[in-house]
This record gives sequence, C-alpha cells and structure tokens, in this order.
Amino acid sequence: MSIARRLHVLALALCAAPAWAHSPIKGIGNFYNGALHPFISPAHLIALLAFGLWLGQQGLSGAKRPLLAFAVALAAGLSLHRAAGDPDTDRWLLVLAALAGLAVAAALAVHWAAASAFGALAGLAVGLASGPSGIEGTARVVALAGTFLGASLACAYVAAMVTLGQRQWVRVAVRVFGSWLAAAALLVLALSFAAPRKSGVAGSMTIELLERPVCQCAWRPA
Amino acid sequence: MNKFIALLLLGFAGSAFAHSAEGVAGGFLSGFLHPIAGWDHVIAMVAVGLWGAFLGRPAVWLLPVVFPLVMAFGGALGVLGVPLPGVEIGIALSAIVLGAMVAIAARPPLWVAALIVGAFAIFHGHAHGTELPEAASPIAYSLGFVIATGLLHASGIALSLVTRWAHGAKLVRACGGAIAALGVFFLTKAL
Repeated sequence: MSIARRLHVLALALCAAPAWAHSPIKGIGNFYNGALHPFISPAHLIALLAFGLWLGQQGLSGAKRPLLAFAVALAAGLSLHRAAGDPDTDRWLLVLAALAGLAVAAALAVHWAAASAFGALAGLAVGLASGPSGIEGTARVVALAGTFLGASLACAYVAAMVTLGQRQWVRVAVRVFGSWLAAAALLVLALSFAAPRKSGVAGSMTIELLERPVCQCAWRPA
Repeated sequence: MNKFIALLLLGFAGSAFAHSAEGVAGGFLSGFLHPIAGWDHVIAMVAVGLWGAFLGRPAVWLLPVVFPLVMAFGGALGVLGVPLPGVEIGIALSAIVLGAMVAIAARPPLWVAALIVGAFAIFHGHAHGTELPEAASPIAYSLGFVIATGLLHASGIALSLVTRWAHGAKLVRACGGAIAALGVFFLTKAL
C-alpha cells in the first residue's frame, strides 16, 4: 500500500469521533434515542446483524431488493406500531435471527424474492417493537425517523462489509459469526419457553430496561 | 481491500460516555468470562482449534462453525432443565480425548471428528446453559459465551501456525499431550 493510501486510511480512522450519547442541540435527542434503539435492544441487534451478514453473502446485486423490502417494512412497522398495540416481537426476532444465522453459517444463497420476504418480516418486527412512548408530535416523528435510519444503516453497513470482504478468511469468519448469532438466538429462544420472565422475551422486559433513560421506547412492564 | 479497511475503520466510533447499560454489558461480560474462567473449558476449546488445524480444510473452519450450534443444543437442554449426567466428567473427558487426538496427530474422517467434537460440545453447552436463566441479560450472556468459545477455537488455530517451523508440529503435539494430562487432573477432581 502506498504512503498516500496509508495516510488516507489513517485519516478515515481519525474521523471516527467519540459517540456522545446526548446531543447538546434540542430536538436531536429524540432522533439519537431512536437511532440507538436497535443497538441497545439485544434481540433487535442480533436479528439485524444476522440479516445484514446474510444480505452481504448474497452479493451486491442480490442484496438490493431485500434491503429495500426491509426498509419499506420497517417504515410500515414504525408507522403502525400504535395501531398494532406495540407488540413485543422479541421472540419473532430471535427466530429470524436464528434462521438468518444458520443461513449465514451454511452460506445459503436464495432467490431474491425469498430474501425480500425475510427482510420484510424482519423490518416489520423491528418497526412494530420500536415505538417511542411518552413523546408526541414532532418529537415522536423524529424518534421514529432515527430508528428507521439506525436500523437501515446498520443492515446496509454490515451487508457492505461482507460484500467487500472477498478474501477466503473473511468469508469463513462471516460464516463462523453467523453460527454464533444463531447459537445465541436459539439459546434465548429455549429460555423464553422455559422461563419467560427471566428471558426478557415475550412481553416480560426487566425493570432495569424501564428505568434506562437512554431510550424512550414502548417497553411493556413485567 | 482498501475500501474494506476504510469502511471497517469508519464503523469504529469512540466510547459512548453517558449511561452504563449494566444489564446488557454485565450479561455479556459474565457470559464472555464463563468459558474463560474455567480452565477445563479453555483447554478443551483450544484443543478443538488445534485439532481442526491439524485436520486441515475444511475441518479447520467447519468445526468452529458447527461447534457453537451443537453447543447451543446442549445449552438448550440445560436451560430446559433436562438433566445430563456427569457434565463435569464429560468436560474433563473432552480435554483428554481432544488433547490426545492432537498429541497423536489423529486424522480420522471428517464425520468422525465432527461426531467427537459435537458430542463433547453438548456437555460444554449444558454447563453454560444452566447458568443462562440467572444472567442479567440472557441474549448478551449467550452472545458472550458463544463469542468467547469461538475466540478460544481461534487461539487454538493460531497456535497451530507454529507447525510452519521445523519443530512446530512436535510442539503442537506436546501441547495436545499437556491438554490431555490436564484433562486427567480435572477428571480426578470431578470423580
């Protein structure tokens, strides 16, 4: 790699400034909270990671339509979360995460229609369970927009990373990581059936999440 | 490759200072430390990595892919309260058998190796899974111990790279012998 390119890479690395949790500018707080939501909800995060990895394995052309389907369904879910009664979709997301993780581990290539359907389910599940509570009007819309961007960019970013990683060891690492996500999801699913209260799934979120001030989301009390 | 590195670096933002996510972070940390805190787990997982490297492709990556999934099955048994007799004995035996496989540089057919590793993965998973219900954040805990297990495999694979040197293979086989010997020690403790 030439010196110029190395400096280019270094400059990009220095561009990654610390991520402050609260912005000093009013109004962006809700947006930031919304954008953070997919990352602080474990079930959402592993579902997005697994789906993103799988999208990346489909390649650039194979990932476009499923990603679009995901984004459209996510927007629909965010719009309809209240009408749907703010359902808890953690178990649904864990099933999707397990399936996507297994698909990644197997490097399974599917038709874009099947991947799009899967993406739509994932997007809908994330959207329906990401509705903010306690805020109305513009603030609520801003938070929803933040969630939309956060979740969509997370998926797109992971998919892009996988697509760009052409080397054999990267492909193997992706498959290994997919198996990890599937294993974790399967374990928590087992727990959700064995001990729903302790799993934090199926509508039984722990009190510590309710007290967490970072995200104003429609958590349901245990 | 440059684009890959640039995109990877852009994803690494600095620390987020504000609120501590004790539930999720604590759950992840306790899960991550669980395999590492138990030497019987550590040596067995390193042996899986070492043996996979000895077996070569595709075992070197197939075992780390399959192991977590089979381990999850064992973990699910633990979570569901399905008793598995002699879990600690099984874990100790895994160190003995897998260490011995490395020590004698055994190269059985892939399905045999996968069967052996898979059988022992159930014991390891069951041990982790029984503690899952008590975790602060079960998902984070699961991710933590699965990732720690995978990293231990990777360390075993990394250790096996010494085979490139003149006496590297002997060193790796000696490590396998040491793992088997430690397994005997843990077995006597478990009995």
